[in-house]
Order: sequence, then C-alpha cells, then structure tokens
Amino acid sequence: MPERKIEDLLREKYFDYLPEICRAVWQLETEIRHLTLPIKRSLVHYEQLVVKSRVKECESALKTLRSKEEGNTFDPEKAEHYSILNLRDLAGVRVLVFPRGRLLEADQILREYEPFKNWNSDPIKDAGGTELASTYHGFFQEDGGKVCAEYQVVPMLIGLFWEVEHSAMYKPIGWAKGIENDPEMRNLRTGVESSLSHFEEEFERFVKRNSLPPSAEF
Amino acid sequence: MHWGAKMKKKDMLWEADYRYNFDRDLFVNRVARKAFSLEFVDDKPEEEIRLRIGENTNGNGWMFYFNSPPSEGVKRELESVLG
Repeated sequence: MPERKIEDLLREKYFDYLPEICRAVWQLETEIRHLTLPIKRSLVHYEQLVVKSRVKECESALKTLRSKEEGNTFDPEKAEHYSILNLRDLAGVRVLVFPRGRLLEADQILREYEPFKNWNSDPIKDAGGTELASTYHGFFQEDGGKVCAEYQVVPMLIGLFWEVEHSAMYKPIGWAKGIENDPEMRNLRTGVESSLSHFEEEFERFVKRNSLPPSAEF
Repeated sequence: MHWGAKMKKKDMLWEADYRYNFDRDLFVNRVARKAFSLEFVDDKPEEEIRLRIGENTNGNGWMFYFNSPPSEGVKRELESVLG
C-alpha cells in the first residue's frame, strides 16, 4: 500500500475535529451575541454592530499550515510536527462595529468577560504599525480545550473592505496569484484603510460637534 | 527590508529567466535546474543572490537555495512538482 501523504493525514484529522470546531464557533458566537446585546439594543440609527462567524475550511487550513514551510512543502520526515490543532483560527467570529466609540465599548465588554480574560491579544496592524483591529485567541476548557478559537473586533468600514479585498487578493486564481505582494497594491490597500479610518474619525467629530443636548431634542 | 531592495533582487532573478512558482513560493529556472525560496531571496543580500545565480552546479539534479536546507523528502516532492 502506498504511503499516505501528509495532506491526506491532515484532512482526516480535520474531519475528526470538525464537530469540535463547529461547537467552538457556536459557543463563541452565542457568548459574543449575548454580551453585545445591551450595546445592540442601545444603538442609534446610524450605529451598527454585526456578528459574523465561520469555520475555517479544510483546504484553507492545509494551505495555512503548508505556507509556514519554506518552499510551501510539508517535510515527510517530520510528519508528526504538523497538526490541524496548531492553527489559531479554526473557529472564528468577527464583530463589525460602527462607529469607533461603539467599537471600543464592544471590545472592552468582551475583554472583561471572565472566560476571555486569559485569551491572547494579537492586534492587526497596518504597514506603519497602526492598530486596525483587535484579535484574541483562546480555548474553551469545557469542550476539551483542543480547538483554538479567535474573535476579532473590527471597524465595520474596514471589515467590509477586507471581505472584498481578501478574496480578491489572497484567493486569486491564475495570473493574479501573488498580487498581495505587489508594492503598488499594498500601498493602495494601506491608503484605503487610512481613508476609511479618517472618515470614521471625522464622522464622529462631526456628530459630537453637531449633536443637540438631550433636553433640546424634540 | 525596503521594497526597493526586494524588487531589485526579484528583477535580477527575472532577468536571469527565473519565474515565480506561486504554489510553492519559489523562483524557478527549469533550464538551470535551480530554485530559490522566497525567504532566501528576502533575507539574503543582493550580492549573494547574484553569486548563486551564476554558481556552476554541473547540472547534477536540482539545486535548492533555502534558508534551512530542505530534507531529502522535501527535495523529492519539489523535484516531482518542478519536473
């Protein structure tokens, strides 16, 4: 019988763990929706908070593991070094919030929640080192604590841009592969992120300057 | 590393008929039977890349320029992919 490839062994493990990954997503999404419900209830008409979740797909998990190796190739002599459980985003939830004041509120509520207090913070930064979004990784002990889950709290404008940009830049086919490394495209992406951040800051300043005190509203 | 320096090394490889293999993140020249990993190109100075491009390998199979030398298993896998 021919020797099985590392990719096939990892695929088998992925599907062994899939029920656990799905439970982790379910739990993370439920807890985050519950914790952010008071914010959701108090949003005014222009404010938004959306919770999205996803289970990392099998081939995406393999691609991420493989990309950590030089030459994007698994070493058959180190098969035992590779594990699906090394990935930190098998179960993922993203909280998209607008504007920034609400984002900080949501981020703080989640950080202060006891089960999330020990989760590791790993913020997403732009090329200049400016923090764009919060990311946290951790485990749910009640479910065996094997699957690492991730949640992000992201400015909605940037998060929605990333949804389009990510599938265009990181999952292209044929000629467009590698476009994410193109310096011009990277500069343009940084420019878009910076513009969206400035738009949000200026929007909040405008609202603050022009809002009426509660007693003057009618 | 500065983008300009990075791009200069990539231009140098392109001019020496190396093409980028997006699946493996390698710069490959099938005639010279040489492959440079993206990490190697990013980390090494321009002069070293130039030397390696010109290095005589006597055509004895593939030569892989990696930061960490690839194992025999990785070489076999890459040789089967690169042809």
